[in-house]
Amino acid sequence: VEDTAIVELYWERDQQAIVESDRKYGGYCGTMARNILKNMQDAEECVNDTWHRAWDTMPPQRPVSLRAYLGRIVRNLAIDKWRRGKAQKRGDGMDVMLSELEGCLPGGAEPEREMENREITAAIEGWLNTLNREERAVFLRRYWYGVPVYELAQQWGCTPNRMAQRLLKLRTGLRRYLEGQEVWI
Amino acid sequence: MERAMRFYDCLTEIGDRYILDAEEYAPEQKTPYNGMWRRWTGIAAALALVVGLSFAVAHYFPRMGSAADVAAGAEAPSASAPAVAAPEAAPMEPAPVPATGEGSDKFADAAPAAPEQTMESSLKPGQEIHFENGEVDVILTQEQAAVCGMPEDLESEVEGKTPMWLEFTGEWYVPTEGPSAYALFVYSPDLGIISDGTHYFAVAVQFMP
Repeated sequence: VEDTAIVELYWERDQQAIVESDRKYGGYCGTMARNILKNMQDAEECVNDTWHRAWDTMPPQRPVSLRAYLGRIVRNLAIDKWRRGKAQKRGDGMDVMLSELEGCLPGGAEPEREMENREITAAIEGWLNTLNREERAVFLRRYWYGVPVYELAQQWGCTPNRMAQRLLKLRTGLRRYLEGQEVWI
Repeated sequence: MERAMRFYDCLTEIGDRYILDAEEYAPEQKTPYNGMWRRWTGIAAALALVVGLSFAVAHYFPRMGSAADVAAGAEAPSASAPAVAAPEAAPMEPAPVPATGEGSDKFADAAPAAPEQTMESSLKPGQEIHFENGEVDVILTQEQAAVCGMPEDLESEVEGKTPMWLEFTGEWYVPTEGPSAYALFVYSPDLGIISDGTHYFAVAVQFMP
């Protein structure tokens, strides 16, 4: 099923949208969630949450690329789950309490921060534009898709050490670029 | 950690084209890395070592006579005995002539030619040796003689044989039929006579009829 058809199903509030999404992007989202969470059960929950988040956000959203859109949702949900899990592991009452409260706070309360984040995102895109396609792919597969270093090394036919060196070089380049742009995080 | 999370959030929001392009990009993979190259290199090196050692042993290590050969002689050849210097220490004299046969007489004339040789034979296993006009053709050093293995009773084997040529294949081979030429193997008399078996300096002589 085409992405546009799936989006239409969401807009029509048809439950088939979730079925089709899972059929087409279940593996893709699951892999990304596992890469980030390193836990099969958490990853599965994360993927299920992804379909519900997509259901909640379409409409009003009408993504041009459903793949990228679902990927973003997975990333956001995965990092949220990771944060919660981290707070619980620490066993710190304050961490758990704050984590619980964070869920009930209305979003979008920090316009300045959001503005800064957009600037940072624009700076990252600017830096990505300075890279060639291959370097860009290496960086984003590692830090957007969460592909492990050894797997990247396999994909590129090199040693994990060599791939780690390559990533280090890219990170160093990113830091210099952001400093040059006076973007501070 | 907080800054890294913020970066993560910002990175999440980059444009779709970057995300899709990174996924679609197919790296030019030459050979998949599997960490096995060290193992295969080790195996190849070990094989090369075995082959090299086999070659060295086959071509450069002396093959001493068999136990039977040693037992046949009075003493086993001494590996430390100087092969070249020994004949020079004592001048060679004509070897005792086998009692019978035409070659016996002519052998006495041919034997003195032995000292003219440098005692460094070019004889190699598998080489064909041609003898002409009773000249000394080949002188074996002690090591070479040991390598090829001397007959237990040279005299009796040579006597009465009329080979035109001798094929050296690691063992003495004397054809029993042939033209009326005669070949003898003579030990240097001052190092040991034919029956001595102690010394393995040999002179190959051919006598024309």
